[in-house]
Amino acid sequence: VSVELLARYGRRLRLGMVGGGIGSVIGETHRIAARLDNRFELVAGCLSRDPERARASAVAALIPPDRAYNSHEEMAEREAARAEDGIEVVCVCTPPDSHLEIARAFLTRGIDVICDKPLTATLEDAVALVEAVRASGRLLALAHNYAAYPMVRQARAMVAAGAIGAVRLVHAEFAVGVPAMVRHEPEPARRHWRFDADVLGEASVLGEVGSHAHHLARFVTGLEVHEVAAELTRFVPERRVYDDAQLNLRLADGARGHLWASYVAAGNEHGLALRVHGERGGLQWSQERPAELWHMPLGEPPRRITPGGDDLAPAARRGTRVPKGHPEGFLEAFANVYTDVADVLLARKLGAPPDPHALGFPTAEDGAAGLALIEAAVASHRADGAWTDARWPRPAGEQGRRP
Amino acid sequence: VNEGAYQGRDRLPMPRRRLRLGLVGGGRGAFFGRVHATAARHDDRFELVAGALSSDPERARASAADYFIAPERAYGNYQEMAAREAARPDGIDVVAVVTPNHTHHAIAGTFVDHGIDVMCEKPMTTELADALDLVRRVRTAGVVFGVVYTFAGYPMVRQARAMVAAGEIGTVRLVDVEILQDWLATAREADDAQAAWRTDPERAGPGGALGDIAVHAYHLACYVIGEAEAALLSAQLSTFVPGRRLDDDAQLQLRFPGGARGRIWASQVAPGNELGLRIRVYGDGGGLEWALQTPNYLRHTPLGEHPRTLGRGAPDLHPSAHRASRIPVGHPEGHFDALANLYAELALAVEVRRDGRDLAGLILDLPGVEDGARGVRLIETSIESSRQDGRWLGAGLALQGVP
Repeated sequence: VSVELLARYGRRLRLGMVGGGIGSVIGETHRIAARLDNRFELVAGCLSRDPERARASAVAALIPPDRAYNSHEEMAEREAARAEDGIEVVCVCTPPDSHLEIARAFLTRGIDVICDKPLTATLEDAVALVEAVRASGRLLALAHNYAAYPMVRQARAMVAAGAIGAVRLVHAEFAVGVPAMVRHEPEPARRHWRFDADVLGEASVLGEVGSHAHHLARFVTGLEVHEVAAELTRFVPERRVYDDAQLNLRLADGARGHLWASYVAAGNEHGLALRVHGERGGLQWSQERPAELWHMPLGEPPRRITPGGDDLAPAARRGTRVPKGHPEGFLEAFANVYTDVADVLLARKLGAPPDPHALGFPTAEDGAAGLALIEAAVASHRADGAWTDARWPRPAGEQGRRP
Repeated sequence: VNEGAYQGRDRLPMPRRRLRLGLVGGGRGAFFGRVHATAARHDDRFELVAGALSSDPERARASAADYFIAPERAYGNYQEMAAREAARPDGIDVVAVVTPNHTHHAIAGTFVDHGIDVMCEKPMTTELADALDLVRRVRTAGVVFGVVYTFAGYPMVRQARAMVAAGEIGTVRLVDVEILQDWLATAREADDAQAAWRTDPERAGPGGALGDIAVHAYHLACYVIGEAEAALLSAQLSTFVPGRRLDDDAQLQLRFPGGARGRIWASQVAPGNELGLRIRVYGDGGGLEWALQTPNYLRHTPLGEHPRTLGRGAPDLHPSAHRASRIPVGHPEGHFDALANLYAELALAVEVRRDGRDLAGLILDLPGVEDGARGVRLIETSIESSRQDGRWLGAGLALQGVP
């Protein structure tokens, strides 16, 4: 990735972080991703709601004590007031029911936002956040990091170029099966918020993992989900949340599909995979082997496409740092989101046109489409799997099918 | 991501401050300098503050802006950089040498003599006498010296080493390492700068595939089976591309002091391989297999049982594999993470030395100056054996005479 804009800017972008204190995998992931291409410097944070943990986490992250805050509101206010060296971007990686309030506090003060997924806990919040982003003129990037793998970008470019013809079938699954997800954690203090219905609702499996699969399917095919018929199941009886979701999908242009999100696919590791079939062939990708995209042209032997070649799509090349054959992984894909955001911000700050291939990161609108699917799936399940309109925004004047 | 499986508790301790890193090589048009700068910042243990980024002084200064190196610390040559940085109270702690092979000895030696710790690309030198000279000077100066055998940084390679050491496959009988590429299957050196220097004996040294990739395979074999070096080797070198002055295929047989037999096949002319690195180890109680293209998995077959696939990040791995792992199982790690593991150990060693504590007590997986010299010894011995039609020759470094 070119460092021309970065060198012209002459320094890293100043980043703040809300959430993600010591012990948080997602916080550490965001920090590594932000560092990877040298475009961000973490200078301020409100890393925990617990003041002692917030302070210790700031020390560990080498954040100066006067910029380690106890509330996001105070952080937004004081950082915005630092005209010379305040943060330019904030990463929000708290539980999703707090995203609207936190992101809005920064957006209204002119600070761009990188937000973990799902965008919010409810569609209502998501729509409010979309409006807050639009009113602020700032950007909000949603961390659907899996769409930033180079071979996912390649798949999207191939579908758009007609390599498999018109898309007929889309199958996305995110079926997790490690013990910490499959087994019930009896100790409430140690239980992750994903199992807490108050944080993300009963269908949290859709917000936590299903939303990634949904975004991946939309990103690669360019097709929106129009209707959903859902079956949600609670296999572990002690849980208040569903731990498995099977969604039949009707997508735009007559495509049909399936989305499977699960916490109980025992024996799986992370379990994210996508298959797309069109009139003239198929594409297949699995996150645990992220550098392989299988292209199956109809009637020909399958081909294994890997990063690094000059013949790949520009967005895929943009997301690749090392020569062919050197594996890149999860953290590098996550960093691709950060690097795209940085390059768009740098272009804005320098009055230059943004690299068009840096503009593929998910936005608040993508997040709202995700919440719309989740709420439609819950409604469908309650109506015993009735087909339910999942579009967002719904076309003007159209009621859409509701159970 | 899965909080329950977070590996952070096992990570190496962080230095008290970011260590100051210098870079020699890596200017515009070069490649691996950026990879090193990225890996060094990955875990936030280093800040790149000085550089002699090119042998062309103009380009060296122009490239410094790409890394935010201050103009007064962007040097036109490495001699000036070593002298001036050694004299500064805030001078660099450690330097990464990422220039073409023929310059490593002079550059690394200069920093060593100034008491600055070094991370050096492989092969460490182009002549054995230079390698042994570095061993002596490193020992005299008492500095930390790391050699970039990156594959030793992969967590599942460390798991393999630990399993062998714990006797989990019994006594090792056989080790087989292949490292296959296809990028030099044609006379690409005519119009590709990377290919040009790597096939030029003046800059690459006497080994082609030998120096560029076989030394990686050799270190990997030794590292996993727990031998410092091979006792004897027999080599067959070939040059398939007409006009090429160095070998582009190397087939080596090895005998280890402990009785194990080994094979290394390094090729740059094997179509279908981007970087096809694979190691297989067989003992009297079972076998292990690891491949770079699926680096997060290690296949273990206890004799007489079904093979099983161990995943990076799984809870029951050896501590050395945990320590080298950042994110949970199912989230792939890759090249930067592996190289960053070498940098994490470098940071630990540098800090221990700066504290005046004894390095000898540190159990590090960071390949050292002796390992670098062993690689150079492998290159020279292989060339001689091949000249003598595959005669078995002593491959050991015989460091007894080196003070």
